[in-house]
Amino acid sequence: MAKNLKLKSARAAKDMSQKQLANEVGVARQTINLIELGDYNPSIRLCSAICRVLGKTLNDLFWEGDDENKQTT
Amino acid sequence: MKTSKQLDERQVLIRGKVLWHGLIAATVLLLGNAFLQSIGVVWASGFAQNITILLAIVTVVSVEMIFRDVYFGNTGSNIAITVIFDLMAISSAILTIRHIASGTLFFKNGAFTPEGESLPQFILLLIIAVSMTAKELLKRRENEACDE
Repeated sequence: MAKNLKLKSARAAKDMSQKQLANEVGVARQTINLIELGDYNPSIRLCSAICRVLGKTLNDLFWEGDDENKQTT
Repeated sequence: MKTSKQLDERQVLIRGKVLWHGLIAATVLLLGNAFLQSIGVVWASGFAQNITILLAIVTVVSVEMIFRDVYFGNTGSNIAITVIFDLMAISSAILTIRHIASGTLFFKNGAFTPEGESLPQFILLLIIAVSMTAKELLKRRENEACDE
């Protein structure tokens, strides 16, 4: 799985560390790290919790298609 | 999601896999021991055999859980538990060294002597304690690297 750079940059934009984000969404820091590395596929519930904390939509952070596909969904 | 004491969704999945490995380890060790007994190899007394096999299974599961980060929840009590295990291992090591110094035989005629029966249990306990300490140190380094 590809790295989730969108999540990493959204977290950095909010000036949050992995640990802070993990505490906010109620998971271990390693889980956030693995999601960013693309080594763990999170549940929709966890995705939406992350989006809520970072103030983004699921499409913003977790949609892997190109922009054209993004608009059709 | 997890509350302060629970594991998150990824950790719960990993814990399930680790427990499955524990079940496999239990099966292998019990069948292995039964095989040894059937061919007449008695490596320790019945009670010591059972305790050692039980502790071996606990060690397999514990070490995997420790290194895959699912042994502790998010309780923050890792250091207290690690210190307790370390103290147990150190006291076990001291007792073992005293036995060695006094010339006690641990193994004789292909079986553990009554004094030596606790040796494998000490070693297994030590493995858990060392794993906990190593993981705690690794975790600190990872957190420091992550914060930078």
